Amino acid sequence: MKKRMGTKLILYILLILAALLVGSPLLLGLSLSLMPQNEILAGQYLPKTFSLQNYLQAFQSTQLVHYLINSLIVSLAVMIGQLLLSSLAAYAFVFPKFRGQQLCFYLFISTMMIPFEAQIIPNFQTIRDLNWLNTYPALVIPFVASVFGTFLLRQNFKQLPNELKEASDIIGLSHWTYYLKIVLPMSKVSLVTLGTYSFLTTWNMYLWPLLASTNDAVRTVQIGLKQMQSQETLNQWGVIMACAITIAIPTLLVLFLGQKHLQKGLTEGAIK
Amino acid sequence: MTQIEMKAVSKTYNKKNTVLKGIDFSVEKGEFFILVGPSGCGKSTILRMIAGLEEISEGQLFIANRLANDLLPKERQISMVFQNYALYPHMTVKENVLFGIGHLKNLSKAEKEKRLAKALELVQLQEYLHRKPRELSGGQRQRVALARAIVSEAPICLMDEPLSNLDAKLRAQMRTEIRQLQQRLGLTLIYVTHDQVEAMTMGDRIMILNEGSVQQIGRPIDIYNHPANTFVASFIGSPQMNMIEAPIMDNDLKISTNASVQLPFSPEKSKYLVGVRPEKLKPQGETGDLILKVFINTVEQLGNETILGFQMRDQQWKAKWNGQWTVQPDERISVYLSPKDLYYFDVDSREQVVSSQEQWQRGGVTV
Repeated sequence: MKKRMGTKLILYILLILAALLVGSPLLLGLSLSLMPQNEILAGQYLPKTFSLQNYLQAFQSTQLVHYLINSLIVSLAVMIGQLLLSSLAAYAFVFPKFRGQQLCFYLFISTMMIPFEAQIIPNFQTIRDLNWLNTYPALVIPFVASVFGTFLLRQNFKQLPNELKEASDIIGLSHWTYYLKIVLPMSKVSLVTLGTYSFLTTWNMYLWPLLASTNDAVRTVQIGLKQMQSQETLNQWGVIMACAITIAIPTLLVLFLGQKHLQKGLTEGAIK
Repeated sequence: MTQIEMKAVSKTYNKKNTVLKGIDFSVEKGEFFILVGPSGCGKSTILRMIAGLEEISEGQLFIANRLANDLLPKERQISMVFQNYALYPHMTVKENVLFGIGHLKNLSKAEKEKRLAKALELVQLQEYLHRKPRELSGGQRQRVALARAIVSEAPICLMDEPLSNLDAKLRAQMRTEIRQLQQRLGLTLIYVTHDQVEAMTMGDRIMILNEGSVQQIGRPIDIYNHPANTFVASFIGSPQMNMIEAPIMDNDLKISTNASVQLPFSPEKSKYLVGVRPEKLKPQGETGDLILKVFINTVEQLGNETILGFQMRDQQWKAKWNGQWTVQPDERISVYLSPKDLYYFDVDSREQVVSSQEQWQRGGVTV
């Protein structure tokens, strides 16, 4: 018993150390964001005087709010688009039975093997030819169709008992009603999972928004942050850190709210 | 009036796997018709073909004298109760029941409410209106499924083993309830089960299936008394019918070393399968009865009756005696049976062999 307590203690100490190590950049950022500029330049790790001056400045003198709104619009649009298109596509792969359904699905799934990096140049050319650069569609449209989302939802739809569909066939429900009234409400968990996942991925996206936006009009937070750092000669690290902490807040919120569902959704069907 | 009719229907999967062949039967309006057979005999497939959930490979299906092979499920005017109830878990009892008629535009709201109230009253679920299926017991869920079928007011109702997920006591209760419901509403009910007790107690007529073909159709009691073949004989009745192969010697059928019986027909073969129901093996005999001297090997006391098991050559036989009998295993006792209670089956075709006189007496027995 005693020995067990000992090993437990060691394990916990190791875990805490690892957590500190992994979290240190974030913690340092948080610490810096609360320091006045002179303390930062003096190379301190912990603030002597707490001030929210950096945050005030971040909201007042930078484009932070503008970027946040852009990110929110883009992330929400991608999320809604993915939920809608993925669930409709998944429905088509599960409920109506047609010849070649399997083949279609495998063809569809096989596109997962083409890496995003390989699609960037053709996508960029398309967007440019459509004159969509620096518009929201440029940031949204390439991501609304999600193979992963379709796959996730298809697996979920397949688990719905077949009798439910048959019962509604006898009643005479249309596919549309069955989709809206039965399939979607019964797949809430998976829909929340996919929604959370797509929101977070879009929020944290860097490479594509960097290419597709050349000015501040639709620029998202991640790019905005990098911009801030490279624009000014004398970096106001406190302000940048305050911005970085601020843009992490929505991510954390979504994660906390969706976490329960996320875990449930991703492990669903694995056990039971 | 004939409500449903199948003519030479067969079902083949992938053009080579035949699961049903040459199915012919008809169901009258207001009849309780039961499809019974062991698992894999194709009874559910027949039901699903009537529902339109399964394609008919060959043959014709008529619903209300109209060719229905290619009708959509919703055009067939049927309702269906599934084995696992197929309730929508995110909807309340009310929503589940109304779901069957909610989309019909030619029904007024008042009419829908009226039907809902009536259906819930019939299955005694008025108080559970706002519960979700997971908050109900198995029997209550079953009733919700019944209510959903009733509310549609379809003239034909199909049930696929609706009671198999319930415990024995509840099952007995629901059997009576379904039967009463069917009679009150005048429903044409087609009911699939593998349970011969359900088949015997509930149906106006039953159809026994095995390996994709019809074995016998008729009233339960007629089938019990006149099984068409050895399969029906052993499938209907519990404990099942005792059978043994017996050779013909000196024009008599020799059942055991010292029990022979005169055949009621002129034999064409050198041996026959002879069968007798367990309750016809009696503790006391009358004049003319055969006596079997046997060693008892199992005794089952059920309180109101005693089931005795013994070996007849290579076959285990059972005798069902009324009341309580104290018999020890290995005891040697005599059991009596009347020659008139014997059934004879052809050893090759497995069909029952009946004398021409008996056949004439029975008249219109459907085989």
